Amino acid sequence: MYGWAGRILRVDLSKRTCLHETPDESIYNDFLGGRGIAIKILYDETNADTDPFGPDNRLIMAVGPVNGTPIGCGRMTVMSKSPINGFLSEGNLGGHFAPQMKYAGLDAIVFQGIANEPVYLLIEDDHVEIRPANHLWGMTTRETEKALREELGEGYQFRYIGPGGENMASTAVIMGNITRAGGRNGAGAVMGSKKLKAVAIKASKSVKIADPDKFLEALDEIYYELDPKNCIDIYRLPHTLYGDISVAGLVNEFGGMPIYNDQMSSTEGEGCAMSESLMQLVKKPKSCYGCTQGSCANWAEPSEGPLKGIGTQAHAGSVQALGANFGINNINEQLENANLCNDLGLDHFVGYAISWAFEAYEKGIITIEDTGGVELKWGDKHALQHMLFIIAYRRNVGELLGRGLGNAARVIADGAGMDYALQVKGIEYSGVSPRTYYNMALHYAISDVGCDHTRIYPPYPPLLEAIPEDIELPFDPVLATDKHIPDEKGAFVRWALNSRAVINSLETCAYNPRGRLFTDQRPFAKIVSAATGVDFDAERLYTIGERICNLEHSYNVRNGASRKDDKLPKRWTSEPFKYGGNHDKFVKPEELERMIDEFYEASGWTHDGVPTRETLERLNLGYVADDLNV
Amino acid sequence: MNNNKKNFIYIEPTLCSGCTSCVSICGFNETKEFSNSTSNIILTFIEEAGFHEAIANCDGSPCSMKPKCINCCPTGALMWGTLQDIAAKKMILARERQKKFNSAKVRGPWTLDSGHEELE
Repeated sequence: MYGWAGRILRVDLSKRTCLHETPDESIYNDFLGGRGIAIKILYDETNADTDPFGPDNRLIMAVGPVNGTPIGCGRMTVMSKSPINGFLSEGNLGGHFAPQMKYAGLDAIVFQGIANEPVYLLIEDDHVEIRPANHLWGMTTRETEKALREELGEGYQFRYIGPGGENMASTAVIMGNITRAGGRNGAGAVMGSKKLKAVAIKASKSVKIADPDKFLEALDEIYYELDPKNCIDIYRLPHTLYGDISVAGLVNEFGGMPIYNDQMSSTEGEGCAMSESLMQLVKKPKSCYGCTQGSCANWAEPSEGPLKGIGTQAHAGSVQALGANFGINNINEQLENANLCNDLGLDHFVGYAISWAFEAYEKGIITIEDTGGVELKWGDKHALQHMLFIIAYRRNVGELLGRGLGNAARVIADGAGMDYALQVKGIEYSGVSPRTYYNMALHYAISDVGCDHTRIYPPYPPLLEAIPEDIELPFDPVLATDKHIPDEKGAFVRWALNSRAVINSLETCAYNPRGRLFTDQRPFAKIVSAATGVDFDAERLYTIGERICNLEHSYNVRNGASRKDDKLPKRWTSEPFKYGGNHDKFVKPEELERMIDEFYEASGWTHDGVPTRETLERLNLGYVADDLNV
Repeated sequence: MNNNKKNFIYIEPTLCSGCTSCVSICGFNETKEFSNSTSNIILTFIEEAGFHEAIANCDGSPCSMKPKCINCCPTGALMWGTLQDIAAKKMILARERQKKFNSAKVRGPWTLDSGHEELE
């Protein structure tokens, strides 16, 4: 088999068995890999009755056909049933672990069962071993990486959880390479519930390529398109030069930077803390495997504070969610918060749940007794760090916030703070304010994994001049580009979801579909055909993407999801920003309903958001239609 | 041959992002398969930062003096040429870096089969 490894590793932590399985070849042709294979396995093996923290839940780590080659960019999918809402939990993370999985001859690792003591999994090519991890339990992520490296030696790659995951805080993530994280809607908590502290891997096999010459040619084509000299995309050059942190500056300028729990959209002064102050601290670029842009996050060493001489990676998410969001504008303090968050194994976007707590404290819904004696004042980094600690260790109000923002806000003061709890399906939002872009508002509302911007990344419509003439798009790009009208947003978001599902199944980095590649997936089709020897064209890839999205949505529908879950919190649908760009904008409820209607129609779903039998059968998902009784 | 005239591959550590693309392409060139075990470029691990750094041990001869690794480097950390070429390039980098960090990131030419003229 070319491209794919053709093997799946199944680890039963209750029985302590590790088995290599050979899946049917049709799963590869129908679902491609990565996110596609993961949802197929999850759909088949879990259901509405599965307890997310029970032994029957699965934790799936999956890679795709181009992982292990430079264009794979070290991305991998982690998938599970979410403990927050019982729906899908899906995350994507980078680093250097994914290629090692391919070199060990694995397309996916499926964890099931619950270990009776903390364990970690060691994979050395075909040798797989479950080892005790009592000595690692309780360690921060950075300590875990160091301890494992001392124990095992050089050349290993790791995925692990921190104290947040061990204590089953639902915002906990699975991490690796110190700063790479994914699965913020429950994957870290599920890994913790299985008492699995870490996965270590070292492998020496290879990824076989069906047509090496064509592969290099296609690689060349993609590299050419992504060269900032040739790429028509406003973000490509700043990304390449500064990393994704440059986004913080740009969104601040046009008014899309959420501040004080999204009450304001811009900040003055150094709130955006990009280029100048950050570049003073930057030591060097640090990237995932096979990065095409140098680095989306440079390695920075703050000049003062606890991180002096140690350093961390500077991400836009850290600066926004754990900095500007609280009015903390000093870059050293922003990085300090981000590093603490990493150490505890929590996602940076937990900052948006904490900012809700700050506002609730201001309004008297949360009291000083709830926080454990700390006053929550905007701009106070100690209060923020205290909140991170109590969420990771599940103390005081952190016990509730650790169940996800939606679940916490519903219970605290009988839901008095629900209107400004910025969450969908229980999951806090991810830093792009939906009042800035209507397409973002729609996607937040309908997303199968809760409030999230990565599944339609980049979160803006394609530039008109970057669309090749011979490409037919199922939406009108001129209308879709207009930020504050509801027209064409349904069709655009449907298209974006389907095409991004392909990117996540190949797997390659979400930063790669830029410029022409935003709309044109022919180079990706070429490279996956060359790698696997199976003939994929752009249409076939798009259909696979559609199949994956429909299966994911059907998974949620089977677990009880319907149109009632696709709604936005009141702040976004009634309040304009108090200050900053786009200051008079909010999402008008009737326009949101219209966009959702159009989205369902473009998807081939009913008015209630249930896929029709016709749609499912067109995608060879007849068995799903039987399950859903449609 | 005079050592000063001899070409070799140099990797500027302050620019290397540890993406290991050069390592993959080097191995692929030889075996037509991607792996991390067949390459003339060696990875070292920097513990406190949790990432790799590449060190090359090659004079370009396996690629008939047109090394493919140079052009897949996204940060321009890989340099190929004589000692003087590389010293000159490093001087430019240092000067540019003084001006501003970002301009020091000279992008390598992207396509795998062009961009050698400058150094030849």
